[in-house]
Amino acid sequence: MITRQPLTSRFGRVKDITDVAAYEQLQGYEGLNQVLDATETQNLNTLIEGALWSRSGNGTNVAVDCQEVLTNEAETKYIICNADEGEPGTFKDKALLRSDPLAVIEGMTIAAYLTHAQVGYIYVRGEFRDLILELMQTIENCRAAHLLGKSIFDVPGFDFDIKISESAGAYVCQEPAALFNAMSGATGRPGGRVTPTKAGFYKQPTLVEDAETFANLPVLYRLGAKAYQSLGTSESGGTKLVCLTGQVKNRGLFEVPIGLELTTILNDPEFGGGSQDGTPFKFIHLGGQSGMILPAENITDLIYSPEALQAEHLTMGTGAIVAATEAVNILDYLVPVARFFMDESCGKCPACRIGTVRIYEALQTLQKQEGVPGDLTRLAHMVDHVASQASCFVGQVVANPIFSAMAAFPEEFKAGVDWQAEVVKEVPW
Amino acid sequence: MDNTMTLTKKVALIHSFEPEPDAAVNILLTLQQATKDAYVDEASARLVADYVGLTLANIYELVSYYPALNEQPQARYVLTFCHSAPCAVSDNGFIEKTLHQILGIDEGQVTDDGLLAYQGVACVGACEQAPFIKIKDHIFPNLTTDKIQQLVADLKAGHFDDIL
Ligand code: SF4
Ligand code: FES
Repeated sequence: MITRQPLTSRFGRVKDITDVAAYEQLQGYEGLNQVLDATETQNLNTLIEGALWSRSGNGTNVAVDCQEVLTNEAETKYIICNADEGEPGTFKDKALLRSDPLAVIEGMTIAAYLTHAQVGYIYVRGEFRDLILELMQTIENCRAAHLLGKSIFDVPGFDFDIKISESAGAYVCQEPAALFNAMSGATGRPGGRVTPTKAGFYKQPTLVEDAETFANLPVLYRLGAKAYQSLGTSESGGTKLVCLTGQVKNRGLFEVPIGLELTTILNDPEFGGGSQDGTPFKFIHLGGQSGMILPAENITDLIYSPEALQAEHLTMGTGAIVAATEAVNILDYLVPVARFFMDESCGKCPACRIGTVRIYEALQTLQKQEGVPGDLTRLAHMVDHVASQASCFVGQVVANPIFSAMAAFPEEFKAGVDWQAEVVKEVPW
Repeated sequence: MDNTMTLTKKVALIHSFEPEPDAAVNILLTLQQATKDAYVDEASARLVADYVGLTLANIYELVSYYPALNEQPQARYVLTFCHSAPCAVSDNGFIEKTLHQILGIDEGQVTDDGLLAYQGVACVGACEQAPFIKIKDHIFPNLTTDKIQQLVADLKAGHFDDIL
């Protein structure tokens, strides 16, 4: 019988999470062992058949990315674990690094073997001092056990080591171009599009994933493609770490099989357990701040899998789900959402820099019920403008929460306008 | 910063990193956290710039761009609260008001004794413990007005000197 929750199975069971021997006693490094026993083709096939999708919200197929890094020749290739996790309502990668860092390191080591990469980085928020110290210790312990460094597992030429790169906090660094700039010592602003698998960090082939994706690799190889895939759906294997926040009874981190009903995740006592005060939910915000806001009545048939959500133009995003009851006015919810985008705009594109401020102000005006006729159209134009002119995802995604909320709760937006007030004619740009 | 770390210590800390531009943020964060006033003073910025091969302007660009790096000396205890949407749903709006009332200062200001300040920040991943206040690595979870009052009193009395 295999566990249905392999990613969190070691949580709380090891006294010293930096201890390699304790990790090995709980099936640690069995995944890498399987990889070393198989041929390159077999390993790639396992990855393809396991149907592992990136858990970072960018929706890429990990097998495709690995194959690209493998086939792109270069002297140095990089494996980067982006554990910066700046998405509000998300704490899965921090939980993994705090409770089972060796799983992430084993996953990165497997990825290095598959792609012939030599250098790894874990990019993590510098203010989490305790976490960084533990990570450093874990990496040291791996080196001492020959699980990092030269000739890992005594395999000649299997050289891979991991460094820590500290982030000082910028949401835009989820964009690979900004991430690479930040990691190289420049300010973390995107400087044009990059294809990481071809020309990533220092223009070399680079695999960038979040901690959860890397932690899936040992599970996939330990269980085998079939068993791993069967934890999820035929198109998306494995489980997903979900962060439930807001007014759910059981806030926190849950590991759910991909393909579960969304309402089960919210309401089942094993997961969210319904709302705190027992009243029905009014809306959920799916996948992070950049995701869609959905009225609760629209989610009754939704299946939590990448493919089912995609069919509805939705995504799992980072796995964040915020739930709110009737007690929360949609404008009260959106003001901090808009503020987040305003604060996180890196300032490179004028439309995003200025537009996110205007959007924040417009929503505040509506929140105070001081809107005038024409304000709703102006808000919509502004959101459109920012989304279409922005050069990276930060500005582009602003439209998702705001337009979905406007569509779901038009009355609450209208209630923010004093319809007797004089119409203000103003061209927004 | 200068009053808490000798130059020798500072240099030793900087030299424990590789002399490459990509180490700049790591060094600045570590230096900042190792010092009482928790900011990057000019002398330190200069040392880091020379060591990693960046200009002083480069270093100040980093310091002003990233929210986690400070240009000004900080209060002994900076009480941070989350102003992202998930925590707002968990009704944490009273934290800012309560701190304003108790401390008599605005967000970002420091009490006259240099001891306390409060600051809203984006999600720190403790959403499940909202309403919370975070001081350095430490989370004070599931707060009420009374608990905040108690926390401030405890901080003033030095009860957390050993952990914070
Ligand atoms: S869209 Fe916004 S965050 Fe992205 S590059 Fe432009 S200004 Fe910066
Ligand atoms: S949203 Fe407040 S800590 Fe995450």
